Amino acid sequence: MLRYVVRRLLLTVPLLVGISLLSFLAIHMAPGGPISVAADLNPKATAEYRERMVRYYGLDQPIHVQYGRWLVRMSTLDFGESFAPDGRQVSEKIKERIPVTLTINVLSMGLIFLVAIPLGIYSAVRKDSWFDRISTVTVFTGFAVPTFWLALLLMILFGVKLGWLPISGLVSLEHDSLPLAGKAWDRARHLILPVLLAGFGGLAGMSRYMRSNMLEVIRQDYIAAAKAKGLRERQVVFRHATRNALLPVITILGLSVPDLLGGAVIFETIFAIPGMGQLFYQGVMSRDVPLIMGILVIGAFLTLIGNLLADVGYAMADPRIRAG
Amino acid sequence: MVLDFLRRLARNRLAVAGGAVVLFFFVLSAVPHLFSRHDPNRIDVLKVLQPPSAGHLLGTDELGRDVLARMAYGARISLKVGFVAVGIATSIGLLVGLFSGFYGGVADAVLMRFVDIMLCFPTFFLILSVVAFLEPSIYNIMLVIGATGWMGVSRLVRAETLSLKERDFVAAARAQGAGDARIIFRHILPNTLAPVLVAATLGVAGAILTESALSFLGIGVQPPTPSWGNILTAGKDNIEFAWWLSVYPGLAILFTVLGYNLLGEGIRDAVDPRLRGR
Repeated sequence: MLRYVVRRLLLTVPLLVGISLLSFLAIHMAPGGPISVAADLNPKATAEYRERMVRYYGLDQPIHVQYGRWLVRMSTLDFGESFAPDGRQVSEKIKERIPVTLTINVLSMGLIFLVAIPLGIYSAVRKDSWFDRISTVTVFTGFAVPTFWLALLLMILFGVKLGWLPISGLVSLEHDSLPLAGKAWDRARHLILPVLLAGFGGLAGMSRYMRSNMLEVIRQDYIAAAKAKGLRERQVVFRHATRNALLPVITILGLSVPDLLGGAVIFETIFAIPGMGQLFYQGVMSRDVPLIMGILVIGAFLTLIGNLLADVGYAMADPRIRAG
Repeated sequence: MVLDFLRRLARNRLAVAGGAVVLFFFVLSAVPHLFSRHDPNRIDVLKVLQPPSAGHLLGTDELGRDVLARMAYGARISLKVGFVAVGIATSIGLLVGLFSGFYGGVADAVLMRFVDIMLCFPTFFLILSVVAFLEPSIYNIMLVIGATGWMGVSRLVRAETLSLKERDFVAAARAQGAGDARIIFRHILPNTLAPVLVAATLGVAGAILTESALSFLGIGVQPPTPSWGNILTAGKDNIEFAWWLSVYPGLAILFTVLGYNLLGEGIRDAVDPRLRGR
């Protein structure tokens, strides 16, 4: 097992190098080069200013030297200063936003786990029943729904028409004056819609996957053997079928990291939540190159970790993978 | 063989429903003026933000323009982007997959590593960053969605190519003196088309979703050109007064994407040899 993990980790290294190379090339191939954006937006930029910028960022050095320096800086997570007026370190800005995005994503993964899995299991066990048919149609619709539209609809329904849930931010205006329990409830209320939306896409996919897994497992011989032994159906389902069908699910959770990150941009912008997605969007709108690059690389890194966890999880579940 | 496939497809009710929806939106985009006699770009300040009525079946937007007309013309945009983007992605994917699968060796290893690296970046992040550097125009959107969506197709095609190149008809073609290019394009390519068709149909659905998301965020199709996504932007800004601006474009996206998804799944089931026994 350990050997597999080590081997897998080693495979990650060329991917990391590739990611850094691609990001580096992307910045430098942008029309006008990396500093032209900052210079263009600054009305006081003279030719002399540009010269200074070039020397400051080391852009007059040969390209492989630049890449080397970029690699070194990247390994310490130093992405430079943001082009935004506050000029803070990019890594700092990202660091303060990660917890929010991570919280929402973890919560939504939990939601997917709690809802999609039982749904999938029940659909498989009661195949072609009314429940199965209805949930299949719902799932297909779920695939087709644009999440930002669903966000708007839910905002209209629960926020505007019914007034039950707040539609923006993480906390209300009166948050600081609330007692402790009130503060916790306030935060929870603000998170309900974002978590629901973040998990929605994953719900559809996961329940479908769980269903097909269960269907395959149920056809296996050991299930027939268990039934022949005289075990009641519930025992058969829970003890044998579910456990075997569940293991690959872990891998799917790991693989869904990039989609969750991408989705974060949309719903954080809609709900005005100060997370990584919103930061990225602001960076894109203001052409803040160091920020964009920083988040891109971190995003790729998180995806890599997700893939790694997924592969390791799969190896843990299926011994055949470890040997191969 | 094609007739066989069509007959099998027709037996799948969901796929037929999906096909009908796809057809409907084609018609909508081809003759939008038949669905609404209003000019989609005509601003009427007196009729700003009106709810659906007899004169304006889906209401008016924040500049008094007829929503139904804008949505009908928006269908054209969405479908155009969907098809061109998928066309680009499929072409790149086919070329990479065929080359990689056929020649193998170092080229294959390098190309597949490249695919792995590209797949590490969250697609939406990638698309957003590239659009940040370029001007947000409909052509750039098509290009970017296509350029970030070819990886799946390439893997698919590569797998098919690997198994196909060992088959007898390839050996026979070689024996007849066929060169590499002829074998690849005349013999292998046509046999990879079935899964590629499925991927392309599902890809159109995905591309339409992505384009509407980008337009919604303001970096896709720019107003005044109507797109379902940018009508939704107005919907968000006027969320408390004009629910119709949020509901209808979203429904259109939903049905279009659903249609292509059902059609794609139907095609997949119809060509799957394992199910042929039924």
